[in-house]
Amino acid sequence: MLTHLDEGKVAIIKKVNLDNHTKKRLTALGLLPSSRLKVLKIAPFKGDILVDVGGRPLAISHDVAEKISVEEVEWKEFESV
Amino acid sequence: MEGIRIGLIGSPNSGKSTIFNNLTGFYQIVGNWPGKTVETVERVVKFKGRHFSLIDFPGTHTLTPTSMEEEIARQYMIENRPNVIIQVASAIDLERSIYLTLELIELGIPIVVALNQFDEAIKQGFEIDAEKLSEILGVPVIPTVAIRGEGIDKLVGKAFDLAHSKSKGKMMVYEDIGPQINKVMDIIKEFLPDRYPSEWFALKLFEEDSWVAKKIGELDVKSTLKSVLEEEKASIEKSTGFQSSLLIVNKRRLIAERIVNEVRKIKPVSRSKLIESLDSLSTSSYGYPLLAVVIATVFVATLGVGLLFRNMISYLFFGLSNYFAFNIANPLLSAILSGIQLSLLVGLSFIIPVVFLFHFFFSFLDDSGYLPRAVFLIDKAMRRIGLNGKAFMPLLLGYGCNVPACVTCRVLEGEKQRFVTALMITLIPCASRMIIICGLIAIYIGTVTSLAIYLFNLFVVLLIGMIVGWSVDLHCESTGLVMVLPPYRAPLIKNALRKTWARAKDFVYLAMPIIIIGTVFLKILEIAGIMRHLNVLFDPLFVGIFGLPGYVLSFLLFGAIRKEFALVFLMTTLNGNPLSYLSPNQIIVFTLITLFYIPCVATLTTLLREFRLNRTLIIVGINLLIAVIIGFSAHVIFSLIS
Ligand SMILES: Nc1nc2c(ncn2[C@@H]2O[C@H](COP(=O)(O)OP(=O)(O)OP(=O)(O)O)[C@@H](O)[C@H]2O)c(=O)[nH]1
Ligand SMILES: [Mg+2]
Repeated sequence: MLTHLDEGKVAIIKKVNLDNHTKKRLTALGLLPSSRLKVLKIAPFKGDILVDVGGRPLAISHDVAEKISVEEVEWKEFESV
Repeated sequence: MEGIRIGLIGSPNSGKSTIFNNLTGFYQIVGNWPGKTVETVERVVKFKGRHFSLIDFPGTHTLTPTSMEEEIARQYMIENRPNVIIQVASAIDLERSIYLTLELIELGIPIVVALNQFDEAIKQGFEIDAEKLSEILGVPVIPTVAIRGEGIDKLVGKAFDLAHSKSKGKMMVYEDIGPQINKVMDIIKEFLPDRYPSEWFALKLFEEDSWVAKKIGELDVKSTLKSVLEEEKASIEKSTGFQSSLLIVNKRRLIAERIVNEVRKIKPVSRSKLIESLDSLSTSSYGYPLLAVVIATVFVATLGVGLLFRNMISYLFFGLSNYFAFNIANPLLSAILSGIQLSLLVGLSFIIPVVFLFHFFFSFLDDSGYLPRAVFLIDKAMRRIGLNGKAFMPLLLGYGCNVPACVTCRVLEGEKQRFVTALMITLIPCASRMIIICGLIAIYIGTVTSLAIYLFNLFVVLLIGMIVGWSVDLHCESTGLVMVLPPYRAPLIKNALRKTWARAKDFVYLAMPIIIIGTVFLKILEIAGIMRHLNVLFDPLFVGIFGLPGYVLSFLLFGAIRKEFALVFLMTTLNGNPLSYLSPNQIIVFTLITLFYIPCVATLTTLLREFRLNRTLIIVGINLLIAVIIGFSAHVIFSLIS
């Protein structure tokens, strides 16, 4: 799960466990299976997660991030900007 | 060519309103956070010999809306179809921009892409091949820097070239599923009114778009549609392994990513150390005290500099009025003159400086890009109430003016969220109430007390939000926040001044004349002895509940029109010296009541438009109730202490 990653980690999204409407919205923003992301920051108190997707930071609520399962990958592969 | 209508569409914060202001000379609020424009605005433009009307849309990442302002944008686009669309894309957010381009191309309206914020893309080391992008998409792509007006000429020229052409971009999601979509399109084409693009409607049916489905449902549809649609959806699912709705959006995104890889190269650049550490600080746990300090600074600076102004101006004023000292025997004339003098004094020494200063300081905050970081930090806490971080901006705007703040609630997803947030906003002391706090508390009681009043107010706002949120079961509709953060940008004085004027000019044009006329009117009533009768009538009620003389009712009535009137008419009626009529405790009770008692006329009108009568009445009722409870408790506490 996205919420289990530490700051600075890179991962690939495996699955998004949300209703179709939300899934569509997340896809448009770049959160879909096969997307690569980097965790930039985790807000205190199990708060929002800031990830880099496609070069811009995206803030995601904890409870949305909880529904996104990811697989961690080596961070060298991430072309961060 | 007359009658051309051009729509500015693009993701939130991409610079649409900047271009709109540039071309129309009109002022739409511009700032550095997503979700400022929440209404479509159409204006006629004369630009270098060309006439057209230009439409500023709310920002949206996709044509599948989730919140009210996106819904409004899309509906307007379909029902009042512009001849050309200028997509204001953000060059620093290329994937998401191209996703929207693909969707817009599907709409079948000719489109030009403005690759805006191109300066920032260069700074970030992005090398974007605009020509190649244009070739791939089949639509013109023009790099622009809206804040400097670069590329705008060319953009408008291209839009004109396209206005009457049938030129369309390349429909890319079509491969694989074209036959299925065509089959459905053939059915709906027969009964769909001409102004609706049937291809787009068909595609959206596969995307399971609820608005389109409803629209189709309202028409006299052939009964075969439903079964054909289901059949074709099933066939897509069988051949691709995906539900059609998800397949389409996934494809768009993947195509967008592929295109970006083809047209963008990234050069490594070193980012500014200062910005980097500011960014890191503002999103860490130090961000909470930072937020408190930043916001407190805006208030303290406004109060401090405001009081300085007041002292300077009233000093000047008294100097002048001594010079022109009048000694007029006619009581009516003297009432009129002293009314004008008093109201000008209060207005110029007080209202104008405080309002302008607040908006000026706030606009720096608003242009910097800091506020979305605060949203990121505070989202979690807001979810405790059942709201989400998106409600932070409307609430914060409430400190400036409740009216735009209530309208901005449209960015929230869900009816209840909008209602609870609007209710909380009406309790937040806007700049007008800041004038009261400043004019009564800061001057006569002390600056610390005025800050304490702000804190107490914040406590009440959050408490009410929690209670009401809990009683309407807010949690059940709350959806999580997903928001793109804009980069930090250096605020420009010119922009800050323009925004300050836009937000504060009402106080000059609207409030000042009423204040002058109202004061003169009250002075005349006073010499006619009518005030005294009024007082006697309401004394029992007000003294009993709040320990206040009955005549404060007239100030409260004026305050319901515009909040600052409560202070102005108090000052002018009490000859600029409230302490000789009211005790410090009474002044505090009065101020507390004015903070909560009723939304002003402008806010009421807005609430009626956004929420209808019932909910507006509920908000008014809650406001009144809170004011009575707090005013009464304060009175009781003060009388117990003394
Ligand atoms: N550096 C740079 N900044 C820009 C450019 N265009 C706009 N901006 C800034 O981007 C921010 C957003 O601009 P707006 O015009 O308010 O954007 P919008 O698209 O109307 O935003 P919403 O109404 O919230 O969707 C402001 O801070 C602008 O100053 C540009 O070309 N370059
Ligand atoms: Mg705008």
